[in-house]
Amino acid sequence: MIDSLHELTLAGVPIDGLDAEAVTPDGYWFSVAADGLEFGSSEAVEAVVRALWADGSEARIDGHDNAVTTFRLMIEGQDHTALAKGEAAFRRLLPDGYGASVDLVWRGPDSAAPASIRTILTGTFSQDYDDMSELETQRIYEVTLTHVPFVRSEFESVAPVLPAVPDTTVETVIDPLTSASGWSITNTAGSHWNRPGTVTVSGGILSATQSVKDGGLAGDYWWRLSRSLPHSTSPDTPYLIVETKMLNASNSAAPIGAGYYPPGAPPGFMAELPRVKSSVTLDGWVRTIFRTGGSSLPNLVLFGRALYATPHTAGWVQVRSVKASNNPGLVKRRQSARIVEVGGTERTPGSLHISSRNGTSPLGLTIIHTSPDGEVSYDPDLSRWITAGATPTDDPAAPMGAWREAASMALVAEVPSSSLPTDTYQIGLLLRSATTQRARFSWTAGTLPLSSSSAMTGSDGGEMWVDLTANTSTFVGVGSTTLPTIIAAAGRTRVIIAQLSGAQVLIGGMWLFRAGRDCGITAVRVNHPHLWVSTGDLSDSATVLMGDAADQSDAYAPTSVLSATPHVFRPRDVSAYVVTDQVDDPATEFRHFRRWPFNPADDGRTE
Amino acid sequence: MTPVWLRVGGRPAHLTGRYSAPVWETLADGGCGEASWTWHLPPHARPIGLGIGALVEVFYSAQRVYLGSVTGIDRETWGINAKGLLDDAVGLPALDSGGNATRSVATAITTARTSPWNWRGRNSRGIVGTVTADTSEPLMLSRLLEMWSEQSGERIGIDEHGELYSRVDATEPKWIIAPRDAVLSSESVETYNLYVGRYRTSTGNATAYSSPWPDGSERVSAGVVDLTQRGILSALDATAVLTKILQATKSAPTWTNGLTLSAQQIRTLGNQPAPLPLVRGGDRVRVVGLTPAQQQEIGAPYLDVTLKRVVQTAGVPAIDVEPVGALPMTLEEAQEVVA
Repeated sequence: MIDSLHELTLAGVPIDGLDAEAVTPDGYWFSVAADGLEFGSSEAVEAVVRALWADGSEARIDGHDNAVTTFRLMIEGQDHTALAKGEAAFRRLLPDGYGASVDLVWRGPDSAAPASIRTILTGTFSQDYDDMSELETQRIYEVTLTHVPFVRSEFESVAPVLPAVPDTTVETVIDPLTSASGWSITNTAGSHWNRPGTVTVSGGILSATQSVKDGGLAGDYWWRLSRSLPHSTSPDTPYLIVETKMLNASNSAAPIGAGYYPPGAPPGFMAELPRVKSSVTLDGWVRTIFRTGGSSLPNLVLFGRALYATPHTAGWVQVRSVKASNNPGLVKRRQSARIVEVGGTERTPGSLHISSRNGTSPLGLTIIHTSPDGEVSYDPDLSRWITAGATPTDDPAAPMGAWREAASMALVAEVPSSSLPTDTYQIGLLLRSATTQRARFSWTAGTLPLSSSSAMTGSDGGEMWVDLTANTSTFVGVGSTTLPTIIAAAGRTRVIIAQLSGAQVLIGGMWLFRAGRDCGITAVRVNHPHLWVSTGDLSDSATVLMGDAADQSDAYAPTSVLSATPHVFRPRDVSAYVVTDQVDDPATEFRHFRRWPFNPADDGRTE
Repeated sequence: MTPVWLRVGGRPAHLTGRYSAPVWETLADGGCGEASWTWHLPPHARPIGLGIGALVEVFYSAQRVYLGSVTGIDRETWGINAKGLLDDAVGLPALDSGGNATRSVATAITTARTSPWNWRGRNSRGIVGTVTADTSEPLMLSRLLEMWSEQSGERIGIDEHGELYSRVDATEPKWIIAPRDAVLSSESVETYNLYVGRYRTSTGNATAYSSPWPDGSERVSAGVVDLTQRGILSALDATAVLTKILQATKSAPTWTNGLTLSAQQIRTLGNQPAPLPLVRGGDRVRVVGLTPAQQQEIGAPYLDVTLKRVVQTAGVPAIDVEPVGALPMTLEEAQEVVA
């Protein structure tokens, strides 16, 4: 018997390690040789396009493909019949791709370190015959397992349901921003490059600037704005709301992070606060909401990425509001927007569970949109950017808070181009009609490059027919295009929706859903209180189930699916946006397995 | 991962089983062309909702980009083929409500949508037109639409909404392409620069000519075409048919080969990468990045063409495109297509 400090388990059966060394009732036991164990690596699927006018080729990794792990399995036994029984027992562990996949779990010598788990799709093995081994009642096999790319953490990571949005918003000001005392700014460029930072306050706005010495410092680095005074956020107001603006024009809508320096921690170590939501306000400031857990914090740090534009850049960030609140920033009731933190290093399929807060009201028409977050403060909702349209008829049941007639007047929205990372977007509409009909719509999207522009440039457009059933809301993707339509440092993107024919149609929701890489939309009619959307390892679409019971005991698949694309979570953050047209403030829960290259850094349960 | 998904017979296709990335084509003439994919099913499965004629929809997120119907099912390999709704019209006669042959496009479609034909194409744009030809025998709906296209000079087809369209090529380009490998050719197969045709009128036979007449610097080389088998035509229509034959066979420098373009090689007018699933057959593109020799041949620094055919595969960051007028045809080929 060989004492093994490692543990390898296939389909729940130990094949190496202390548990494997125990003799099974059939008289055999397994072990795996360290020599010849090769954990495969996932091949990158690379797209290479040769440049037209220059040397070199553009290369992009569009994904990764399956990996192959091989090892040598040794079966030992009390007699040769036991060896054959061991061989049969091992054969039954190997999947053939038709049934369920199995897990290969590796635990190293440090039992506290997270286990590596590979999802095995198919397995084969061959005997490596050796007559001397036969005399010693040993057989050796070469095992080949094909598995899904990357390893995953042992436990599913859950972004839990957030507390319900309160009926009355309570906000307490943490810093009135009348004095700069306690505030200081540093950055990661290093002491050699930096001039002293200055923090000034004027008119309720705090400006923190730090210029950098001339010297051609290239690349970007991070700034930190710290407030050394303690403050309290009570469990009643567990959200921190900060409004900031970057003074560098190229990233004025850049997202920021928040954290604090825990007492007793090494210098410079900062604990991060999770972000819940970030969006651009009507006057161009970025409003970010963080979760503090409700406990008092010894200090506050705001941080962000600074792009080094020119030498001697003076000016980093302005802050105009630091508050604690009980409201995670929901404006319209039939929607929920939050940021889901995705651990790990690789993108991973995501699952979600949407439910009504009281557990019994049906959700109604449900739209779920996920997209990678982090470049700018993108928010799909266009309703707060509407500049022209028919007079709204207020109705809290409409996702945008009101219905607007589409045939009477074109609906126009203008959103700052800086809040749209360059990508393909799809204009989504929630429509309702009093008659059953087929209506024709046109859409246009263009750019107003300057704040003073009134004429659009670079427009794209198209038309669309929608089939509407009387008094039943429906969701359609009206048109898609690359936004912003032209490269522009500032300005707005204008979207126009017009109804060209048909009886009056009411628009209750208007969105710009990002539809590029790793973005997904599910739209389903749900006449139950629970909806589950789960994306398996290799699913080309998400599995959608709905039901009345929270434990899925009566769940079934809806047949009225208006959109069903998989939801993929790419580290570090995913922006998740949910609309339910019959229920306020839906409870949303997101789950995923963190994926890593070869060894997980955590088991999935840590924050 | 790209948000393209498939719906067959009204059901999301993944409910039946995992499927390979669908391939679909869109055409300048015809609208939605062919589509295909493979389902990963065992050989004896009976998928719900799958049969010849089941509606096939390719969605890009929540927007439909292709509409067709199943035309072929291989129950061993589960390879499925689909064609656009115009193909369904090949077997539908063009009739009016009384059951008589009609040459009116709008009437024929209205009748084709009723029982028992139940064609799923629509004419919500209200396109009207009457093909002038002998009315004694019924035509098939697809043939009627083809003849209308020839007569009007417009491109006709069924788009991804199932709607009939009839349009001329846009003059302004929608996309800009800078392909590395565009091959320009100005081969001419025929040397004719004028076509003379004899056609039937109500009072006997008459002669028509293609337009425009060759200019004074060229030697006139005329080809003769017999149009009498097309029935009674008006002078205007006979000229239109001959002009179309001339355009199809004459020599003009144009881009001749099919190309594979990545998202970086096809861009919007604002120089952003084009959203690939939305590039369609019939879109007008501007080819830039031509060599000086090519520019001299064309007489301009760029070339505007209409895409005849665009083939997409879900998830592949490249598309295959072919331009209209890829190669000039022989007179026989042109006659087959046009007459």
